[in-house]
Amino acid sequence: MLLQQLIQGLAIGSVYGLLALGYVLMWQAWAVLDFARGDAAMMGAFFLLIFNVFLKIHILLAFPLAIAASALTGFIIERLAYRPLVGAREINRLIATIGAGILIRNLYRVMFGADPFPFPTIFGEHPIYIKHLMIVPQNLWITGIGFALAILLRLFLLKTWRGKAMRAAAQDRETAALMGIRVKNSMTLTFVVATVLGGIAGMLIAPLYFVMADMGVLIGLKGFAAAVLGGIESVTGAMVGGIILGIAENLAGGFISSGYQTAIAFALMILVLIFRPSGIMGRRL
Amino acid sequence: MRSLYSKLKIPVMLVVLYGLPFVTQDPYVMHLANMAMIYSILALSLNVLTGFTGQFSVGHAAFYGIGAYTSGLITVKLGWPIWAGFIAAGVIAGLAGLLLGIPTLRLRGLYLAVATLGFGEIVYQILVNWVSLTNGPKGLTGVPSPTIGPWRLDMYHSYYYLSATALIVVVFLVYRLYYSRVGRAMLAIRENELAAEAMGINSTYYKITAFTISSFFAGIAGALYAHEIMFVSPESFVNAESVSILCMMVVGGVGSIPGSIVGAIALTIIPEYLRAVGDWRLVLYGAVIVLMVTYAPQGLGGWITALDHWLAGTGHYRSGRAKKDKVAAEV
Repeated sequence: MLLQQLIQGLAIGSVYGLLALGYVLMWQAWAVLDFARGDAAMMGAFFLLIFNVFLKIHILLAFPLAIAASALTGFIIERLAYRPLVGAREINRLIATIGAGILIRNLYRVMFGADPFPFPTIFGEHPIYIKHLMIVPQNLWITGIGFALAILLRLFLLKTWRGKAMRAAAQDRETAALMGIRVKNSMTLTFVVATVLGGIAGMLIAPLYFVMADMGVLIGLKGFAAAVLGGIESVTGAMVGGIILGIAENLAGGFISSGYQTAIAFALMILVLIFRPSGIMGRRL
Repeated sequence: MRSLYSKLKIPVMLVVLYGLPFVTQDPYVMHLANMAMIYSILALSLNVLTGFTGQFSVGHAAFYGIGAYTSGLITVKLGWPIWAGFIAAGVIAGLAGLLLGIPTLRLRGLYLAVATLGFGEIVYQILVNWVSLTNGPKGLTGVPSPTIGPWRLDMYHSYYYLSATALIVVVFLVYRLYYSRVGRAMLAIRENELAAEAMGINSTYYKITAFTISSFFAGIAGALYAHEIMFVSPESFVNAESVSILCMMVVGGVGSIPGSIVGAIALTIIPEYLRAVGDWRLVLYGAVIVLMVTYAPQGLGGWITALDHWLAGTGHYRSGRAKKDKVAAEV
């Protein structure tokens, strides 16, 4: 039972982790608490739904297509709602992300209606039994993909020139610009990467939940809690925060009450804020 | 010498405010008017925090909800008089703000926003799940409507006198705070926390004070809401509600008292007008918010101040603040 909850928590946790990575990237590069993160996940799920279910494209092709579509919409959103506010006051930038989120969410509601769409399972939901332990292949796939992406992102940020430029631009815009880094381009790239990561999180979670216009609100908040938990400045922390949140939520659902699942996630977040504000993996303030 | 305009300004506004029920008593219009008053108080309460100290809350609906449920519960379950409900709503919401503020306001930056976001979600979940106290998702029915002497304020248009008066009292208190020593200390923190501390201002103390006052007013607004619709359910205090309060304040203009009121009234009425476009309503609402913060970052408050100066004839008002902000942001 305990191990069961742990495995489930690990899968959902790696999805939270991917979303949390988006928050970390946005916080670093744009210095903003981005309220439209969850809606990026919603859009990703819808793109996969469109390509795979509506247009009946094979899943192996639908995935890259949905990712490309996420990247493109990310680019457009950045131009319309984020780029014009570079240099504006903190609270105005925050409100712009809220406005963008409301706009996107309701645009999808207008296009697809408020009803949830069921999503076919991609990875197989027939459980494998190892003694008493039930393992759903889907959960393993989600965990695997989540971790692989997090590691890829870390390698990208640490090893490639572009990644290093992104980190430099996030750390000190002026100095980075003096070093010949195109700071604005770098910020755009960060936004697109964050949107794609969010989109993939949405695609991974789509078979577990229904796809609907409002799905981004709650998972966006969870991803944010995960980012704070792990440390809003750390890529590794985002993943760790996601896993801890996923497991804590599943344990709370299994042993305390499923009604309080979300409340427990946020209580955990506030406790971390109080006792270790830089997060579990972050440096001490 | 005071001009005619500045002599008549406030009386005219009061006449317009209290005159509304004489023009129409349509329940729909008067309910909207009441909601506009309540949202004005909420936007103002948030402005005490953001406009004065520069911190902000993304979970203000939590204090609004705590106020509504406090007043609802002690009048329904304990049978206390309604004025006691109003006071208790403010006090309990203020206490909740104090308890959340003490640990989180020590930190700089967006941490209060983060904590309030989580707090808002927790309060909502508790309202839904603590069925024995709050009656859960079904909500609390039979919240009584107040009586003043022989008058029973059980119609939307009669209740309006109470909500309009409440708004006036809150506006008065916020103005008093703004020009007090405490208010000045808070403004100093907003402008430059480090410099304020160097001047001997205990920034944590004042930030917590601002947050407590802010949640107190939000609690009062909650009680006002509960007794207006005589029913409270958790759905009125979801995260989206906090977000719309925040939007009202920002669209009105951070730090502008008339701005908060105009912003709240505008964002209460605009969605109603947009009902004609059906589902596109909220799409346009989102677009309006993005356009407002992009192209009018001072909010409606900036225009109101300009208009006020123009009418009073006190020279050409230039938005020097906007330029300063831009320069500061570019540096």
